[in-house]
Amino acid sequence: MTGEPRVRVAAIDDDTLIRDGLRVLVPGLDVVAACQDVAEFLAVRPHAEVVLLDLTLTGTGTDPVLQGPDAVAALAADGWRVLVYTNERRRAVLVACLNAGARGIVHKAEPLPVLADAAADVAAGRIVITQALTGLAELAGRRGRLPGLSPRERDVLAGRARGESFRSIARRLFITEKTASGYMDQVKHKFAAYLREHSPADLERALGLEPAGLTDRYPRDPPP
Amino acid sequence: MKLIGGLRRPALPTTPAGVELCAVAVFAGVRAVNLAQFAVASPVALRHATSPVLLLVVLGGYLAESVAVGAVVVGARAYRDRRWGWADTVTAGAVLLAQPLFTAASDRTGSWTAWGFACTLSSAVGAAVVFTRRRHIAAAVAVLAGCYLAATLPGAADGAAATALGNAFAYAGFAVLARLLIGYLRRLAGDVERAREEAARAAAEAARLRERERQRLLLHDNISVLRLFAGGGVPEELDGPLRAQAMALANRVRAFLDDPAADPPVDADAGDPPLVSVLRAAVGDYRDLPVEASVDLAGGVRLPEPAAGAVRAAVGTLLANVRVHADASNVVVHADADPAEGEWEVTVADDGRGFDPAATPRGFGLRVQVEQALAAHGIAVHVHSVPGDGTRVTLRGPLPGGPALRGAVEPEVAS
Repeated sequence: MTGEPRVRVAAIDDDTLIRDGLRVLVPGLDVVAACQDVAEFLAVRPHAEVVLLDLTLTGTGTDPVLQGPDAVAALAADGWRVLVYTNERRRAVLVACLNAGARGIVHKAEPLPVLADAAADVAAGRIVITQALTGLAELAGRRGRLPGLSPRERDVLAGRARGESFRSIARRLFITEKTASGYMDQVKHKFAAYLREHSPADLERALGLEPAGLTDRYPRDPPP
Repeated sequence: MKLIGGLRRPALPTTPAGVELCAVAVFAGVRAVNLAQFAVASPVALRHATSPVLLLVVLGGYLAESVAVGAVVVGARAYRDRRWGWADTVTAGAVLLAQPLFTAASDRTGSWTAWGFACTLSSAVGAAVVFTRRRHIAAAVAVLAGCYLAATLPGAADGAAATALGNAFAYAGFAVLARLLIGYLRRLAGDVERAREEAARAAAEAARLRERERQRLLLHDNISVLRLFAGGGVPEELDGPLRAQAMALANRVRAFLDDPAADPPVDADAGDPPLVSVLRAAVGDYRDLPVEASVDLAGGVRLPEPAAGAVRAAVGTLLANVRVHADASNVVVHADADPAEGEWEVTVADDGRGFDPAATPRGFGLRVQVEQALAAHGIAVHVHSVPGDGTRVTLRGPLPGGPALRGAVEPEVAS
């Protein structure tokens, strides 16, 4: 990443270690602000391209704060590109985040360079999803929920869902790695659009997700 | 293109977003139909125009605005931005006022030379979609009807004036009807959404109760182990087994936290075990690896008992290989079923070191525990690996009742 312009990110995390550590640990990121919760972030409105958002923001206080998919929705509605950075692995919750308008999801267990790459991707307008969600995208496609996918996009998605590298997919389909990853970008955009446009209850039914976690919160206000 | 994609879908989603998409399609569709009608009539219209150049200039401006509005609403997948609503209304008004510049008085009603009327009806429909408040819709209709009458009435013959008044009324009629329909659809979608959420909440509540029961079971097992450790002075001969049990419990807790729903269900009913449960059980022993299991596509596949045991052991061996050799940061266990081919397929892939299958002799695990053991059950094994690009092992077996048994060992070689 050295030599390339660094991505300007703002971190919202109740964990002091993460807030202060990102600056030191991830050279690819220019951490312009680190906030404890969404309210603090919206008060500061830093000049950031990407917002790194932790899903659990209980902090040390006892007052309820905006968190989870609701926090994603509040930031997305305000026009921010949200990259969820979390330990949360339940698919239903991750789907709810994309439904609420998140542009990407990275697990805290991933190596740090993955976070830097994901932030760069989100800053460039691409969607970033986890392996589990790639599997879910394939499921959605196979159940006829993503009719806009081209045959090539389906091929690449099937490979990625099976853990195949772009290098291997490219060789198998006689295309370049860049083309393969371009197809996957299209797939992710279409999948994210599908998730945004369907209600959590629809998604639960269509994708066979466990209900808990998706709808145990109040429905968001419809956009004006 | 997105709009076309939206229409080609089997059905628009019955959600508020779907209603907006539908409204976009109707608004853009009415405009497109009117313009297409005009395109067909245009040779005659141009012949009768007093100034074909002016006609084309106004038409060009109108087309440009239509394309801009179309691009915006299709991109947003909704026509809710009031600013564009006013822009479209004002443009339509301007187009109507410009009609006398290129039409003879006798052509201003009932002729495609004065194309403004037919084309701007879609603006009235659009106003009903884009504006929420009635007075805004009324204002837009007033602008449209006012501009139309201002351009048509002066110098019109008696019959033409009556036609013009009737036409002006059509703006209001279209807007009222469109508003009725879209308002109703929006309320309907809202109600459907609420009903769905209600049902989902009830299901969530049931799931929560099940969840609590599972937590109780999990925590119950931990108590005795924790007690023994807390008491201190564990007898030496118990130390090893106790540690092993503590580690197993720790892994179970972690797996539980990762995805409670993915925990292998306790299958009390007799019969062949589901492939999905077999794989989850196999993965459950390797929770220290960064494993992601995507197995939903094989939902419903059941394997006869001996084959199920062999698959579980084989996937376990493959994951053990990954643990020892691969140094992987991502491991995927994927399952799929293809009823047309009569086959199920399981893939175990990692992004680790990889090896050269041609140059590296297969270890005991892969050769005996995976390939030979599975061949006995008619399951083919295909190993694909490239140094530096991970390893992918695919198992393929016949669906019970499937049309054909494939060869025991896949002849295909890694490319």
